[in-house]
Amino acid sequence: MKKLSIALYLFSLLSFANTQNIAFSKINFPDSKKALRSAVSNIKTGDKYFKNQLYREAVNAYLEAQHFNDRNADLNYQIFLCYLNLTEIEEGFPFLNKAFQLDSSLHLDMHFYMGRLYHYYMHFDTAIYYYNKAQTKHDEKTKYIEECRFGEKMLEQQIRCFIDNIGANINSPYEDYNPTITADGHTMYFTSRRDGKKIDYALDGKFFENIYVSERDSNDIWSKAMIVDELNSKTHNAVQGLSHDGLKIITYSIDNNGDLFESTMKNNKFQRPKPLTPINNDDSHEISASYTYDGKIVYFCSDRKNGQGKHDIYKATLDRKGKYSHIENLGPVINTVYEEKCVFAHPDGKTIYFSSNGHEGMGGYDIYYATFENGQWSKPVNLGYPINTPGDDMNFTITADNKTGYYASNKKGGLGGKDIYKITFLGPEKQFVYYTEDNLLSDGLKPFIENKEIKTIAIDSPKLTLLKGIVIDEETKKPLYAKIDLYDLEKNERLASFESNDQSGRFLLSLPSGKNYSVNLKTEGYLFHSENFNLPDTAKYQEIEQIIELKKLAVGKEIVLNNIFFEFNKATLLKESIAELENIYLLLTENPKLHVEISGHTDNVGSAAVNNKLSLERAKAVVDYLIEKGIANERLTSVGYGFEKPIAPNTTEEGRQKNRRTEFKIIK
Amino acid sequence: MKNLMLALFIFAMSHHGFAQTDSIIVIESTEHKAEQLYNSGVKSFESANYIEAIKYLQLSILEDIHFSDAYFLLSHIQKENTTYMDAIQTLHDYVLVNDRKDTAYYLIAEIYYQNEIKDSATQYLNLCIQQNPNFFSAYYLKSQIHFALKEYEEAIYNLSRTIHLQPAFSHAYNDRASAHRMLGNNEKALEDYARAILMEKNSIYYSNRGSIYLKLEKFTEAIQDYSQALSLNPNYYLALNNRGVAKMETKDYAGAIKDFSLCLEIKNDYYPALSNRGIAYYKAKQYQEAINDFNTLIERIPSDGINYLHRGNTKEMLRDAEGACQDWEKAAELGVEAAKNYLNNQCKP
Repeated sequence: MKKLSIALYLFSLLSFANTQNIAFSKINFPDSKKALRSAVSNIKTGDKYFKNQLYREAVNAYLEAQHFNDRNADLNYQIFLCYLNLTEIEEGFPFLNKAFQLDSSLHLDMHFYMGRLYHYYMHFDTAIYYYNKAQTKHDEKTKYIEECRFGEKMLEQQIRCFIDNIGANINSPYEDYNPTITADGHTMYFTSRRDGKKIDYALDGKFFENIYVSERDSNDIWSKAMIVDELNSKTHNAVQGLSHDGLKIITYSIDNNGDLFESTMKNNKFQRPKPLTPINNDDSHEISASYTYDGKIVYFCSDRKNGQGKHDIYKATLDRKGKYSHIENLGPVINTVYEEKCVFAHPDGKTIYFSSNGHEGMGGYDIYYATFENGQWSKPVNLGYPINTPGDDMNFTITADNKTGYYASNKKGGLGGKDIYKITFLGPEKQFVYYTEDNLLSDGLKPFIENKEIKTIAIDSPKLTLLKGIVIDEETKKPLYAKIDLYDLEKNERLASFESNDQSGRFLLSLPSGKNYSVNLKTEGYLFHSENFNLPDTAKYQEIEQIIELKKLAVGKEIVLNNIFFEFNKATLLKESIAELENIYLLLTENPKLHVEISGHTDNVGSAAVNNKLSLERAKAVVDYLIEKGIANERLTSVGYGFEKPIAPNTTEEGRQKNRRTEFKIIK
Repeated sequence: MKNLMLALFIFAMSHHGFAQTDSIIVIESTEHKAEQLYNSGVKSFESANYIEAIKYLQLSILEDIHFSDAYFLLSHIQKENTTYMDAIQTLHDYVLVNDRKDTAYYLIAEIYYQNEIKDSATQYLNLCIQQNPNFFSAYYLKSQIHFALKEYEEAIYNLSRTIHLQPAFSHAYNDRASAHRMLGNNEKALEDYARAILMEKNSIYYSNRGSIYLKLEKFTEAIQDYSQALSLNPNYYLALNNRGVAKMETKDYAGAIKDFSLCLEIKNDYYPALSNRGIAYYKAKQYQEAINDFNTLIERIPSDGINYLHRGNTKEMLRDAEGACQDWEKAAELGVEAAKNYLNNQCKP
């Protein structure tokens, strides 16, 4: 689209060549005195507004005058400055160009801004020419020249992706931005300045910001966006961050110099947002925030004192009281003396995406990513063209599988204002094989074909498991609310706690590779359910969808204890079993009348006698642990079934593994 | 006299082949009966009456069993008639009764080489060199054998011997350059191609040097050399194809497409150019044209997985994800590793 714009621009450049700067004077307009008076009056009005920084009003007045005489350099330049201050630079460029053609020496900054114009349209050589010619007091000149040089490189190494407008179900003729998605990419919250019931105008002449939601169906169609009443007020409300399961949201309000608020979903509705203390700071502006996969850290942006520059990225860690405290600046590798905004924490637990106008980029804000590994942040990597452009590229978010991103842009061809765009990443250039052939020997009889493979790097998919599902009652199949605890079995440490949606029973967890996880689901009146996910560092991205059926606490109900582990061929409990054992202990203490049977089961490898003995000893090991913890002996029965009760065929390793298990059954 | 004539004959045979009959030396003397019979044999040979020529030459040998020219012409005709064992036998007969054996050994080696019996060819070339260490053609033929066996170091040794004995022999420089190229010694290859070009402006030499520049990513120089090759031989389709590749590397996709198309006009079944043109269309974002070329290739060579890979890559850009996955699956079945990765990463199981 920018190519079209530049074509129009070049056309305009030709059209205005050889034109003269025409002053608003009677000599120049002897037959239009009344209209001249009106135009001059408009200019004066515009000047007043301009002086008071009311640029929208100023530009409207100036444009009236420009209709009368469009060949006045000063007026065109003023119009450009208005648009520049309104951050609608693209609107302003034709006027700058016109002013430059009429009088290139009108203002000291004209060459500088011409550099900006060519920079914006990615004519980097020409931009550098103008920047070099500019005698300006703008400090950014050197930075912009570097951006142009970097831009040239980026154009050479384009990122392969499709960028599509997400469509009219989400975008409107107004500003639509700040897309935030759940880790599975099925739900999107975004901010819009569209018209609607009881939505008033803000001071800048646009409607107030409000938060909307849309759901994506299996055919990749987004539903018609709905306003989220409970998150909006009469003024600005913008979504800033969303937990990966979509049950917690961080919003922004202009109250108190710009603060962040948090809301949790209950009964399928977000609760009234509460200030995100102590992240909010009275003297500073807090924007943009993102939860890590386990919700233990919130990254946010703030212009508080003692940062690296203007807005910096900070992190706040969840303390024992459930507050985000221990605020730390991410440091000079991430933050620059310029602006860092729009931070997004990837569900892989180590990558953040953010926008900055301080790192090596093409101009304006570019989007970067950096990873936190071995205690330090990597150097931010520019996402590249065409995602990044010389304009401001912000509000980036990406699905857990790294295949789809979303961002907002005011590029031409949209529905109006800023629109939300979907980026489908295609990965590195696909492999192609060229063929060259030569007659290596002079007799020309022995041709030699040479293949030239364009080697490519495999798509770097994130290393995480996205576990999503629904919790239901085993008998009624109705959705259930459940508390979901995530454990690191190796460290016997609870990493995080989540909840399933209390209406739909849905849950979503992100499990970065590199840990042996236990996922434990429990709710009142039911037996807990545990799952084991042993994910080595190398485990690739996968999505697992499960229906978890919780069983009521009733005699005869039994569960498999998926996180009880023994030494090979022995009845010695491994330390990875402790979290599960503690859950059994907790269940028995909370339900003191329960009597249970702990049973051991094996696969069919080996004799029945050996397997019966081993399974019994294993069941006893569990019982012994519980007795040692204080559970009464008579409440616990241990049984060894050997391979009598398989739950899977013993013909495969997978089946045998399932059969090697410990079970828990309520007997009284 | 005979020795001189024989040398001229061998030279002609080595470098121009027997098809050019004007290179045959007719013995003028009529004093000797064997010579008369030989001359009759030559006449019959020139009039393509090979049976009669053989008869005269055999009679000539019967008259004078040391008459070397008769043996050589007879063996040549037998070779042309593809009675290779007869030709070899004739040359063996010559060896039995003559002192100068080098040429006979060389000719025997040449017959074996042409029949892809490289061991025997080498054995006779060694005998030739034993007889005459300055027999440069033997070294040259040995270099060809080593090259064919991918014994490039040995090929270089023999080519260096050839060049030592025959410093103006441009072919040897070209071939030595190619051997260096195969060993990855691109700088040495460039030097030898340059020497060959200095001696003779030959389209093969230019194209070969262009390919070294292409390898070294000196695309402008590569294009210049390929163009030079084409100015010497406008129908040299290999140079056209190679220049197309060099142009693709400089992102001159339109120029590349033009070269590949011209190449295909000269040789319409030259599939490397068709494949390259498909890639050039892809690079130029002319995806439908690329698909057309890959379709043709798949139709003609369905066993080549690379064509499926290329078509799948193109379908991806046409947003035909399902079609892309189907093609990558086929490519993966045919052993293309990259396609397996794409299938795993981008296609639903």
